[in-house]
Amino acid sequence: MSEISVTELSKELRDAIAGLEATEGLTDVGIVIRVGDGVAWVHGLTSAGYSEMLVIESGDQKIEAFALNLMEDEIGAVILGDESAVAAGDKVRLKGTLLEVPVGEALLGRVVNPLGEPLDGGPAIETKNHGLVEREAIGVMGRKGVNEPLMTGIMAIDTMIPIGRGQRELIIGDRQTGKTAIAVDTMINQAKQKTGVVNIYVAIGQKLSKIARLVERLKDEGVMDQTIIVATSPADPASLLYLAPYAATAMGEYFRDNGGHALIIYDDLTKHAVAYRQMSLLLRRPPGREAFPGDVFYLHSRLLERSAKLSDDLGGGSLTALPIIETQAGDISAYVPTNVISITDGQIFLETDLFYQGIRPAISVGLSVSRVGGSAQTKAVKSVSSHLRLSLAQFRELAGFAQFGSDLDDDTRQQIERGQRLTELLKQPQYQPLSVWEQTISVYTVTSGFFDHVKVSAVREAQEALITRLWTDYKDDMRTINKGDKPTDEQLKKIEKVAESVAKGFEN
Amino acid sequence: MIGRISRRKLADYAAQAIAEKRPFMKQLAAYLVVSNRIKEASLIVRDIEAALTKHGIVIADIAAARELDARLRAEINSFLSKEFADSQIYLRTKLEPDLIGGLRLRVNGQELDNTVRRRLTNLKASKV
Repeated sequence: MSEISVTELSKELRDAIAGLEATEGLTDVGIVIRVGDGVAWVHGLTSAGYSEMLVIESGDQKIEAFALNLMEDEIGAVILGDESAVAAGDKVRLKGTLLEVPVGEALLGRVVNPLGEPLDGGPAIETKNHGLVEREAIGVMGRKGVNEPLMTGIMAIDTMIPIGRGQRELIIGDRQTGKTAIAVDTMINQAKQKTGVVNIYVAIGQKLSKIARLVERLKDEGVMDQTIIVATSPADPASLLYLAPYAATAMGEYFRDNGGHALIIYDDLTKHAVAYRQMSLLLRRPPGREAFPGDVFYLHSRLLERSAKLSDDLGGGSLTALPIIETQAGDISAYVPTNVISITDGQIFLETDLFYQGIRPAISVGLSVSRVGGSAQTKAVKSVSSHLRLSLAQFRELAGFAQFGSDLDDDTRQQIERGQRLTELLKQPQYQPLSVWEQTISVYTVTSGFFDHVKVSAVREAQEALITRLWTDYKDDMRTINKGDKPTDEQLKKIEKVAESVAKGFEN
Repeated sequence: MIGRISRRKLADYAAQAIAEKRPFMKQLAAYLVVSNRIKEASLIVRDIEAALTKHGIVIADIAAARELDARLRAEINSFLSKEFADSQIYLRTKLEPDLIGGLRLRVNGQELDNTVRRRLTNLKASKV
């Protein structure tokens, strides 16, 4: 019961009476004929629409559900509240609406469930705006090509697998390979670089302890103010896990449709598919491959199509998606992973072997790709990264020969040593995203050979020294590069001068 | 083995038979027994009552806390005649004192519930 001020008692009572449903005329009504496993089977309501909201009247309680199975004799409705309160014989009415969630700036900094109810102990979300959970994606003419970078702050990604605003880039790998870490660093970078991009993190069936740690980390990094967390735990009903990504997308679409930019992370869609499989089997839908229902592809395709870059006529806003998929034993050819790979505009593949070799982020450069590519890169990073991928590819080819150090020709040895230094350079600690200028000067220095005589184990230390020196000596130039412009010849000379000086201190 | 016939189809068949004054009850009962669907009997009756509307026969259930007087009955008849033009209206009344006041009308899968009990329930559910 809400707190009531004595002086406002009269107004509250009048408002409550005005808010009561006034039954004017005949309204459709059905009855629950059986209930179990989160599904209520309803007789009647012949005019119910697909995904329409229903209200089950059970004693003094009203429990919401939505119609997912429209069959000739009955409706299968997935219960959104406490199913133990629903009993056979309860009346069911149509709400006349589709499922909506609150959207808007009021959600920033909050942790909510897929129905928009707060989970962080704060006050109820107060907003006049609501967004449809299920909504059609923007058509072709409403879109524009991806042309603005979304900097993750992770050098390996921004240089070789660049992500643009409005793109869908899949993060895929086995458990404990750093998938969520990449997503979190990307969120942190939006705050550090003051990009104005709103973060939305959807935890689908994640442990509550993990969500709590994430919230603490985001608060420590000063990111929480521009982040919305939509959280579901394994203890929540499958219906909430199913709705979570769609509800969060509705929240992201608010910013996109109002000229803003948002980043949405679905962690992870494998659990989402499993929750949908559970619901479908309980709704008696015929199981297909791996017991998934036949529309499991559509489950994710209609979700991810809502992430887009809008045309200038529609405000030019964007919603960028980073869906996460967990594989088993590195099998990216399994059912759900291949589905999502075919939907997204590229993937970042994380390998367990690389992780345990100490290469973190454990990104497999060979298997990762961004289908948007250079259009999503700043000119600064683009100018230095073209050689990077090639150098690493050559290094991978020759890596097996590294043990024969003394029997190799000079060119081969040099390629191997350059590759080792590049690999070392691309290692990056968690929660330390790099800015545009830091990435640009780092990659330029190593690919141009200035660190060829620096010990491999000292490359990162040398990189830090280089960054510190350049920021101290040439701050204005670094600021200019940070805006994204390609470094001028004069700026490159300054970088080279400092790089040579720094390298001398770390030589073999 | 008898294939499963949906409740809706059974109801349509029964409603048509009633409208045409054909016997059907024994057939329907036999089918339900043979197909082990006796438990669905009450649901099928509801469906038949809804299907009869298409044949100009309207069966309305009225529940009230007190006996309905002639004036009220006439008002209800008039309301239903407007909703279901050119139909024969049959009223079934039931006394339910725990409705407290007002009345509840059920017809053709729809309901009009103006009982005091429902308003109190709505008040409680809105958590004032």
